[in-house]
Amino acid sequence: MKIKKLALDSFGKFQNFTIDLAEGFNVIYGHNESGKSTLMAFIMMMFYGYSGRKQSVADNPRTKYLPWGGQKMSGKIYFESEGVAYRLERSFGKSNKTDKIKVYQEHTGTEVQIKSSPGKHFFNVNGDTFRQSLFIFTNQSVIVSSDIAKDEITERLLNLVTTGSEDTSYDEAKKEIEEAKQTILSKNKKKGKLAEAQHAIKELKENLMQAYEDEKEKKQVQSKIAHLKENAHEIFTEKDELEKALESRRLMDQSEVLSQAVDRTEKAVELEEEINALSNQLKTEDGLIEKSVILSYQNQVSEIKNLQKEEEAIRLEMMELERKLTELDAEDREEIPPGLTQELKSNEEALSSLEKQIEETNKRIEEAARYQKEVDKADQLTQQYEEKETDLQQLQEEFQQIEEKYKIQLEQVEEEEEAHLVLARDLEAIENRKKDLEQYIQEEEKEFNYQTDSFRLQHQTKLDYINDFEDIMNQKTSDRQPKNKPLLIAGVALTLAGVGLGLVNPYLYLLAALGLILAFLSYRQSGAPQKIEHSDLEERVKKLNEEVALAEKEYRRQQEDYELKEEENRQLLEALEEDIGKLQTESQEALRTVERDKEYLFDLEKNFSKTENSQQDQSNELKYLEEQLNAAHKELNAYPDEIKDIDMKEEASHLQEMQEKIDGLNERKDAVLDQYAVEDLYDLTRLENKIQTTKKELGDCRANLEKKSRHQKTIHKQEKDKRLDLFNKLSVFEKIENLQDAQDLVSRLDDKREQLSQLQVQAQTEKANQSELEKSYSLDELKEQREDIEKQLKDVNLTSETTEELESQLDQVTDRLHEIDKEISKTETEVIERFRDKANVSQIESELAHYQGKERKWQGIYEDLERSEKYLEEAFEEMQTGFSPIVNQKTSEIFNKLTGGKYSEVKVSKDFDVSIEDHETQDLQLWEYMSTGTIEQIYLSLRLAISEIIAEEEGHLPLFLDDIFAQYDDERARNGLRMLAELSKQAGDHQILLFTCHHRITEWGREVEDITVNQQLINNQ
Amino acid sequence: MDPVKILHCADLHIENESKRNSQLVQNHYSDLLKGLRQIIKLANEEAVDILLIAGDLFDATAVDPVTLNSVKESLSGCHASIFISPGNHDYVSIESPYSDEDWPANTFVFKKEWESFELPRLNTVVWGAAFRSTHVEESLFTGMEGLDPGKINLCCMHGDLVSNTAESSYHPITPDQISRLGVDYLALGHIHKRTEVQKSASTTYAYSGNPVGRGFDELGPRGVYLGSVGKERVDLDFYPIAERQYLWEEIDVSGLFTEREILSTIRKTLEERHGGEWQAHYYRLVFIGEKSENQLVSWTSIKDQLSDEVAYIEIRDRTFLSIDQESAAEENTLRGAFIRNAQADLNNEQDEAEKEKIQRALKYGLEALSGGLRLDEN
Repeated sequence: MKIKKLALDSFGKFQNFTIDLAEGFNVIYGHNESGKSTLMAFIMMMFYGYSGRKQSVADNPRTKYLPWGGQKMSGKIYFESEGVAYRLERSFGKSNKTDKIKVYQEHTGTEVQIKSSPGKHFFNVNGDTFRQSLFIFTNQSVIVSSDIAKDEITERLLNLVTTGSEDTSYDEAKKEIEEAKQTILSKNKKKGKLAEAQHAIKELKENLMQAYEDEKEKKQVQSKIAHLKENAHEIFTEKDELEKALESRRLMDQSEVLSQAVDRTEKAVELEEEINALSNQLKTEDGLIEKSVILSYQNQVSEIKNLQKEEEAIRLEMMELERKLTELDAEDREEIPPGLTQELKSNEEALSSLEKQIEETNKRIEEAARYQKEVDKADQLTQQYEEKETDLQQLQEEFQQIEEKYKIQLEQVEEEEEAHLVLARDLEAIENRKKDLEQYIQEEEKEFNYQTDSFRLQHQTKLDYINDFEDIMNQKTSDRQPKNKPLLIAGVALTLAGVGLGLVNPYLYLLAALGLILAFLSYRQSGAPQKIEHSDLEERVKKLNEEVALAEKEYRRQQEDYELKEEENRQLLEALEEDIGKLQTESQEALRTVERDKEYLFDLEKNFSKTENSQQDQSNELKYLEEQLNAAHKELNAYPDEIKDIDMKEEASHLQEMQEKIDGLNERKDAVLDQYAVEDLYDLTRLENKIQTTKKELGDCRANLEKKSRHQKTIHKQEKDKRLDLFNKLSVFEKIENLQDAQDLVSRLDDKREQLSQLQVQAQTEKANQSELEKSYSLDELKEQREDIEKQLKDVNLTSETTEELESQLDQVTDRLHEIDKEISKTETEVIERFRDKANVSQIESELAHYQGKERKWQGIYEDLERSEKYLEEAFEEMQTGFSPIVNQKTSEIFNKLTGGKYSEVKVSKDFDVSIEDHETQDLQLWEYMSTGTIEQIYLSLRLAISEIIAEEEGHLPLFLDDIFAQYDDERARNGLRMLAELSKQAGDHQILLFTCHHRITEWGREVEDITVNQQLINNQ
Repeated sequence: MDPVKILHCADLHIENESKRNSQLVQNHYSDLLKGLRQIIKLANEEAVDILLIAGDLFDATAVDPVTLNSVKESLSGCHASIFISPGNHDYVSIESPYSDEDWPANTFVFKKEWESFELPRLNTVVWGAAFRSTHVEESLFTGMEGLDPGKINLCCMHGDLVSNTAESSYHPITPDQISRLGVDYLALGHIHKRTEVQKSASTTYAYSGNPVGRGFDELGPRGVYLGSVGKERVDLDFYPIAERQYLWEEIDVSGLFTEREILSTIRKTLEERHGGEWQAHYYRLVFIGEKSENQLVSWTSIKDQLSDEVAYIEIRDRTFLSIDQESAAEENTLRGAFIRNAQADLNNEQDEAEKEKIQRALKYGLEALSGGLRLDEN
């Protein structure tokens, strides 16, 4: 399909503008603002229109290109498809539907019916595909060299390669589905709408179980309450019965009370009579005898008795006293002289004092003996100490001597060591020089060998050439002539020379290259075959022979030089080795001396330390002795002076004196004790006291006796008087002869009086305790009442329990009733509270159904998403295995051409990493390291590849390029142009339209054959 | 004998106030109470003699005092005699408010296995029984004896109408049982979708359905049956109650590209269909039709803007991308391959449901490929 002409009647800034297009590669040149984008938009709009609803002017071609004059947009395109020429006319309204579209066959003028858009009809692809593959806008390959742009290109590229469409990314699509799935069910299956529904269902099911349990529980509680109510009813009956029993008890008690009242009243009457009888018996002239009088009689009796007793007692005492008197008389004796005891006492004291003194003296003598012993010991120690001091001094002198010897020896050893070190260093230095020299010799040899080889080679080569030339000179002219013999020969010769000389100097290889080029060119030149000239060959041969001779001479000179040098170096080497030998022997000698002297030093050291140790020991022992000595002296000083100065003889005589005194005192003591027949002083004192006491007692006794006798007489009189008085008083009641009778009578009177009092009290008490009943009613009345109650009792059940018992039981029962009522009410409120806000089974079931519905819904959607994902993945596989490899291959081909063969392959890996292979180095370069320019080239190659592929299916469609080389550097741009021109040609002059505003592109376009440069846009301005 | 005028309703499911915040729609709680008040008002206006509430008056067994009070007050304002037979949601249990003493004087609640209540002035006997637990496996009709055919017999009952051989945990009622009942009208409750008034032997029966919808599975107008019941004939008409309905509306968005266009289409369509008060209802809008790739409208934004006017809006996207699938299938691109794969499966599939799933998978994939894959929100 080829577009022949564009006619913009009114579109954008164009009014009645036409532009003719050629076959093959067109470069259409126009300045910025000259309207090339408009032209491209025109083509797009004419074939496909615009169905979008973008509001902004920039995005909506329908508004963007509205003619500035205000007319309707319209235009025509003249094109050829499958050999037929067509004319497309279109005027644009508000939408595709309102555009007026007409297509005519040019030759016949007949209208062609098209159902879809013209583009679809003729290109057989829809607008999107057309735009993506046949229309390559610059703003799609965004030319701002920043990283953001690079990513956008790469993104489009990836999409293109993997999905065939720039705007579609497999990753993105997959991600969207994945995200949608996640909202339904997250990866850990814990979040998401489905998970929520399932969770809710699980919870509700648990709640449902609980609700069933709750219902059961409620029923149980209900029956429990019914049961409790039954109990309450029973208790109520019990209460009733107790109340009845209480009433019986009341009646019974009342009857009891009345009986008691009757009894008491009867008893009171009896009592009255008794009292009167007794009163009569106790009458005197003054009336009833008083208790106090009786009491006085009793007292009198007692007194009389007492007096009798007293008299008897006194008589007994007197008898006793007389006995005692007799006793004391017998005991009486003479007194002891007073001062005796005193004397004996002082005697005792003196004795004890003397004995003490003797003891003290003995002690002093003992201590003196001990002191002397200590003194002897101290003297001994002092002697030992002095001996040790001298020993120590000797040792110290020995030590100093050894120390000096040691120092001298040490210095000597150090000097010897130093000497040895110097020798070793010198030796090392010489050895190094030898090594260097050896190395140098080797290198020289290598160098020379190399030179020898190269010379030989050259020599041989030249000889060969000489032979060849001689052969040629003898040859006839052949059919197969090179086109340009001189050039050829020059070329060959130069090549050979270059190769040969190149061995000496690598740069001379260039000559070889040049020679090859010349040789090659000779074949290119078309000309008649020539006769081979011999003369210059002969010249050549001669020259070569001269060269050979020269070279040979040179070589021999070099050889001589080398051999001279070699001899020099060898001599140097020998000298060095001699020196080395000498130094080595010296060094060894020095070492031996050092070792010998070191041994001697070591021995000295040993001696040195031994002496030091002995010295130390002695010093220690000395110290120890000093300490002991000090201690001994201290002890001696502790003894008092009197011990130190004691006189033993004096002490002994003193002892004897005292002993004699003691003996004297003891004699006197014994004598006195014998006289009085006592054991000791103490007994004597006692005897003295006793004698005195006896005398006193005697006196007392006599006096007592006298007194007692007088007393007795008095008592006797008193008694008689009292007795007679009493008998008199009692004669009112009876005649009394003796005291005993009197006592009995009084006693009887007392009893009777007592009884009377008691009865009187009793009568009074009874009166006081009278109940209301007794006070209010007479005996007969009371009896009547009692009978009444008895009658009532006949009709009721008697109870054995007391009122307290019954009342207590009644209380208990009332409490129980109260308890049960409370429990009933508590249970009811409890259960109502417990289940107040809880959902019941039906409510939960409703909610459960709701969530189950949701679960099903989301489950279904999830499955649909999974299915969708599956289709997507399969589609992607397909693309990868089918479409992508082809695209890759084609892209590689085009890319290769575009880069002038530098990169041979574009590889897209499974992870969508794009890499390109450097043809020469075979290195793979990854995306990230490529320049924006390279990436753009890849992009372009990809787009072209895709359009190629489409073209293969749909036949070749025009390719529209919007200044795609704008940002390319010169070389790339040129390559690009050339490549496109080639592409076009290869595809049978496939129409390619490149719009550009860059002059250089235009110029290069002109340079390349098969490119038509179109300046109609420029001319239009 | 004069017929008696009745109003038959059921399944109000009046909730506790505390459940308000978990509601789909915030107004639901007040909608329910309002529904009850409207029923009472209707009964008073139409001079109804007997109001039968056939179960599930409350959604829960324990009712909070405020709600309970409101209900009792509403009922007390009714001039008719009210009969309530508790259902599986508000079954009689220990915490049930039906045991309270202070129900209004005009209200009688069935609490036992079987009871009857005579209204001599109307020559009518009302029979009824209560659910005393969530599940009732056996028929409760067995206790019904001593029916006096000389009186008008009404029966108010919550239960599950099943075939003669089937079972149910919610008080199975079979047509055979109904035919043997001998009552003049059987007012049923439990099924939320109203049935037509039917007859079996001499007994007329129906489900009144719930008077206030509870979600998008209970669409359209809902209400009560009101009319007269006599020995010869039963005349009942449906009276819609709920002012707010749950509605499921399809809106075709083909060719619409901007928010404004779509919003105005929605408003216009809904007004056409539901009149000037269309904003009072609760909507689930299902967008159908073609969605071109250039249409980039956010459903969330649409929903937000409508939420200002309408009490509750949900949006479901059931549009499909308007790409020319046929030509797209021929493309040598990922998209093309994808479409081909899907269509291959589609052609091999016989089952309709499976076909739909494939279509949806196709749609999701295409949306993902063009970067616009969105799922419903709820």
